[in-house]
Amino acid sequence: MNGVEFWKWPSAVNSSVDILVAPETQNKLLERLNSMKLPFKILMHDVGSTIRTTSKTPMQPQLESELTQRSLVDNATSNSPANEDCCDHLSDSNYFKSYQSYENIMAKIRRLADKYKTIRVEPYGTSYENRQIYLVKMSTNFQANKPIIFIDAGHHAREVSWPLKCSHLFI
Amino acid sequence: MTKLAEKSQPIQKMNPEMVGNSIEEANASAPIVELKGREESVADPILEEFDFWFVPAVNPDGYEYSRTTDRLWRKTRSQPTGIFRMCAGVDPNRNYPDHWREVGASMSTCAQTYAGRQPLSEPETRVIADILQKNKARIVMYLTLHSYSQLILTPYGHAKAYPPTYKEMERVGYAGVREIQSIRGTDYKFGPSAIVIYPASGGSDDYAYSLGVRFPFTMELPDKGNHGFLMPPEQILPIGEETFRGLMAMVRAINV
Repeated sequence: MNGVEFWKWPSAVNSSVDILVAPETQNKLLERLNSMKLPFKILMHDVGSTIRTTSKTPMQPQLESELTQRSLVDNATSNSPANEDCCDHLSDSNYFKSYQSYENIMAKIRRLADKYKTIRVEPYGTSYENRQIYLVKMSTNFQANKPIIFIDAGHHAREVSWPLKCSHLFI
Repeated sequence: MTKLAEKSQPIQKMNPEMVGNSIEEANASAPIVELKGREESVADPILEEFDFWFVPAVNPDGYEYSRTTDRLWRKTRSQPTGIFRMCAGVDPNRNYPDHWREVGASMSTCAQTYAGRQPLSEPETRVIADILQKNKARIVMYLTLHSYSQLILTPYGHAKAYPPTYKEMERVGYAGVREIQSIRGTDYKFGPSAIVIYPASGGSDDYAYSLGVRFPFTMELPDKGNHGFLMPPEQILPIGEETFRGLMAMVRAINV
């Protein structure tokens, strides 16, 4: 059927599927599900508007610059050593409030690497569009060749929060 | 557009015999700051035992395209070449050289699961494959983060079968499931991906396993479909936190 896309593909018997359906196809699909007596529920009435709401912040350039300004202020006001020590990873508190650009994510990680000698950021190849892909290493002793726990995120583009979450793992 | 879900039914439970003697109580987990890599001292002893390597964004082109242009984009952004290729992008998690394009992967360039014109056709998958190959003797656990569905998956993706070392994977995986459940009730299912969801070959976890990585896992993070790919950003921190603690429980379970 045209205008239909699986978000969650068919799998085991009795497990559910999630389907994205275009407005012009919606009635046809509902009729077909009803005629086959397949139970369903509508999880999201208007995916387009949900996209607009959840993506609003990072997509508006003026908000991004506002963000930068705010974090500059944060840094300026949190000069006392105690503050810096306890809450450094939270200092730009807006970082996790929206989906950041790839550039912002890597800049944040590079700042951590500058600060902690247990973190190293290594360029490791480039993407099709020539973006640098990075391997981030954490070790208390880089010479010891300890066993490695290797974690990646963001194979699939729309699963957007996962690059961020992966970076959150060690921020 | 509207998103529909057929009435939800629980995914089939794993064979209870396989769960059997795998119960090990996970210790209370370390807070995030302990893994921050402090200059002076490192609180979490797990850092003395293991190195942690991350590729935070395997597919940055797709990430940016999704962020700025087409929110639901899934694949890489490699452009069509030749007369038979109509659409941009390859599904990177069908592009690895283990049982490539055998099952659950498409030959059609416009498909969401297009496997690419050959294994490792994408520079992005070559990065991960290269890291895995060159360090396969040292990499004890490989964890690839996806969304959504709340699953911790093991190989095989390419066949409905339990890998020979499934028992030890199960012990470690369930340590993560239990830890995450204990935090705020987020329930994960565990099992081989072809059995728990559907067969799909050419995935990075199968490839890691074929290289001898002992604990290869795919994690499908929350939720179960109410937000699906459109998770509100307020959830970044709580999901990040519980995922981190689940991961640490899994790492600690490697050695018990």
